[in-house]
Order: sequence, then C-alpha cells, then structure tokens
Amino acid sequence: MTDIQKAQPLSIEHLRTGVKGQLHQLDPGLRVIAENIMGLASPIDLVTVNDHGDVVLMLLALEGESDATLLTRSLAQRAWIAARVGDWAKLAPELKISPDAPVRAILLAPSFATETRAAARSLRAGIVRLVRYTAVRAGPHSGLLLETVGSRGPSSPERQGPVREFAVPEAGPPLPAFRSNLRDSDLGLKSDTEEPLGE
Amino acid sequence: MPRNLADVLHHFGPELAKPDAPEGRLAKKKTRPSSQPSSPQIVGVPIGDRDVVRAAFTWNLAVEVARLGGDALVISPDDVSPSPLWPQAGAGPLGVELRPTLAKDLKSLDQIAREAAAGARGGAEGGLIFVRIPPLWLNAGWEDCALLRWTLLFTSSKTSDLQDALKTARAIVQKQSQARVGITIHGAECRAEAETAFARIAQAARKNLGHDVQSYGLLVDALHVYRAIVAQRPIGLAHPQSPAARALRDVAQLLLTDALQGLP
Repeated sequence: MTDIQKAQPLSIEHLRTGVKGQLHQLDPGLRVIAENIMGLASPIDLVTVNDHGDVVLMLLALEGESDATLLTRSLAQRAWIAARVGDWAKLAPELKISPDAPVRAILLAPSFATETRAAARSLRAGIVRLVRYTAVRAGPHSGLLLETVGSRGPSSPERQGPVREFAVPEAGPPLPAFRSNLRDSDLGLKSDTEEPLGE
Repeated sequence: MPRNLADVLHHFGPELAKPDAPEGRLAKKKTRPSSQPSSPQIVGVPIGDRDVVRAAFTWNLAVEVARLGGDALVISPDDVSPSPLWPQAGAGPLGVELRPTLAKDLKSLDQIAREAAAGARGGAEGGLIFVRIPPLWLNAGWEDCALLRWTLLFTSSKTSDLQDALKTARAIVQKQSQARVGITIHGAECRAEAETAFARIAQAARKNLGHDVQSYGLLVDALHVYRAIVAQRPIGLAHPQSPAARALRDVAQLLLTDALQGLP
C-alpha cells in the first residue's frame, strides 16, 4: 500500500498546473482562458470563465507567501479585469463572456489568517472565494486537496458542493456567516458525517 | 479550443512580467509593525445571578483574551461576597481582573463600565471589558447605553434556548437599534449543529427583529469546563491543549479582531 504524504508544490508553475488539473473540484463549469497573464503590476495566475459567462480570476500563493497580500491583489486585479471584460467579450465572442457580470476571484493558499477571512467575508457574497489547498503525494503521483474556507453559513459551498454561490442570483444581503476557525477534530467533537465503513 | 488572452492582451496592457520583476510574486509575510495601544471595548454579557456556566465562559474568555495579548477585565454587579458566580475578586491569572461592583441598575453599571474603559490602558492587541448584565436590567436600556452597543449571548442549540436568546436580542435592539449582538453557541455535538443553530437565530433575528446578529463561534461543554468552574481555574491555563481551551481561544480571537476593527 502506498503512503500518502503532504508535499509542498515545487514552484508556482507546478501549483498552477495542479490547480488547472483539478478545477472540477472548485466548479465543473470553469474553463481556463488564460494563464500567467500580466494584470495590474503583477501576473494573474489563471483567468477562467464559468458556465454563466462570469470571469473568475484565480491567484495562487505558495507556503510562506502572504494571504493578506493575495486578497489585496485579487481586488486590484478584479478592478483591472472589470475594465476590460467588455472588450474581451467583443474580441473573443467564442469565449461567451458575460460583460455585465461581476468579476469574481478564487484565492488558493495553504491557509488564510482570521483577518483575511474576515475581509473576504465583508465583500458581497460570491465575489471572493478562499480555498485552502493541501498538496499531497502518493508514490509518483501528486495532487491537491481543495477546501473552501470562510463559509457564509450552512448554504455555503463548503457544505453543499462546488461554487453553488456563483450560480445563485443574489436576493438581498446574505445572512451573517457562522464564524469559527475550528473543526470537529479540533474540538473533540464527532462529525455529523458518518465515516465510510471498510471491510 | 480556448483562446488565450495573451493573444489579444497587447491591446489592453503591458506584456507578461519579466521573471525578475520586483512585483512579480507575493510579498513574504511580515510581522505587523508595533501598534499603538487601543482603547478597550465594552462587551455586555447577560448572565443571570445563578448562571455559573455562562459566568465561567465569560471569565475564561477574559483569560484567553489576555493570553492573546489583549487587556481584559470582568465587571459584575454582585451584592453578595464571595459571589457564587466568580473566582476570587481582584487581579487573577495573567492580570485579568475580576471587579465586583455595587451597581444597582443598568445606568450605574453603564457609568462604571465607561469609567473603567476610560481608565484602562488598553493593550497592543486591544482589550475587552466584559460586563455582566442581569437580564432583567436590559429592559431599562437606552439608545446611548454603552453596555448595549456590543453584547455577547451564549446559547445552546436547543430551540428553547435559541428562543430565549432571540428574546434577549429583541430587548437589546429595541433599546439600541445599532447594537452589535454576538451569538456564541455552546454544547453542540458537532460544528454543523452549531452552524445550523446560528443560522436559525440569524434568520429569525432578521425576520422578526430586522436586525443581523453576529457569530462568535462555538464553545464545547467538556468536562474541563465543569472542572474549571469547580476549581475556579481558567481552562486555558489548566488544560491549554483541551478542545474547550481551543474553542475559547478561537472565540476570544474573534472578539479581539472585532474589537480592533471598532464598533459600527
């Protein structure tokens, strides 16, 4: 039996490749239209479009990089892209970009500090999504485990599957989110999901 | 086949960054520069005269605030000494002071809390003054009452307890429309139960009170909590790695973070 071990991505390129290969974990409808393009003063790791034509930019952070800076950059890049989405839609109609939809962002990092989560939560629902990744290696194979953090409550994608909030039209402000940085295992509590039984 | 935006990017901006561009990747994490002490914030906590568990949660939260570098004080109107609710009065672990007062009503308690806040030094990480409010006193609140600007309600996930918490929230927001009402769920069997409980009260508060409550995490009703109550020792010091201590620390962190951001 092969051991599964945690392993840090060797470089941002490795991480980007890994994320591209597992976009379906975030949203099966996401398709990459550009990668490592120069945005406002720094590169945007991935630019994607979802089933609804929303442009979703993705920024990645390696271990040790600042998640707060990642959030700041994402807001700046959102604004930079928003000013260009209309032109992109005209220049490349086959991409089926919706020029009027808000630009969204997905940030991937090994962890997010409380302040970063709070800042992301203060934005309109679905605008910035924080995703914690864990890089794992099993023998010659490697992969990423992706987990949405900073949920906005029980209806959040963390509990109900990929990026549902992106597809739901916003009706009034969202309810305040439940806040806790702890999991059942941290609290010595049992999870409400049953462990699969093996034979 | 997807079209790469790089094909058309020259229409809109500069070309790809050079690998050695100074802003090409993220800045490394830096520690926050030394910050100025912040004035402590007052947090009103409705606790009945015999509510030992909520009092224990409050005192332990104060200790956790101190462990996180904040300044913490607990004020309680108690006319019996020693109080059945609290450990010995005075400066306790990590400098957390338990200050009984002889306030007889909400107005005098409010004045005492304001004076304590004005006289407190605050900490680099901010500070909190927890003030026990006898629940019956809430009805005497007023719009500018400092004790009602930010309150913290402890409730289990039971429907009856959530209804009681909603009633308390109603009493607060009827007197102070901009109040920040915090909810901490305790005694849940799992995180999802606490999340659901918070969602229920958040939804009911918006629907019935027209007011949004704020989540302040969850606390566990572990054996350590009850042992700490009996022994009058803070859980975070007696059993720092216990789930109860972790949960308290998490809630204290949420409170401190919001304290630094200030009140709306």
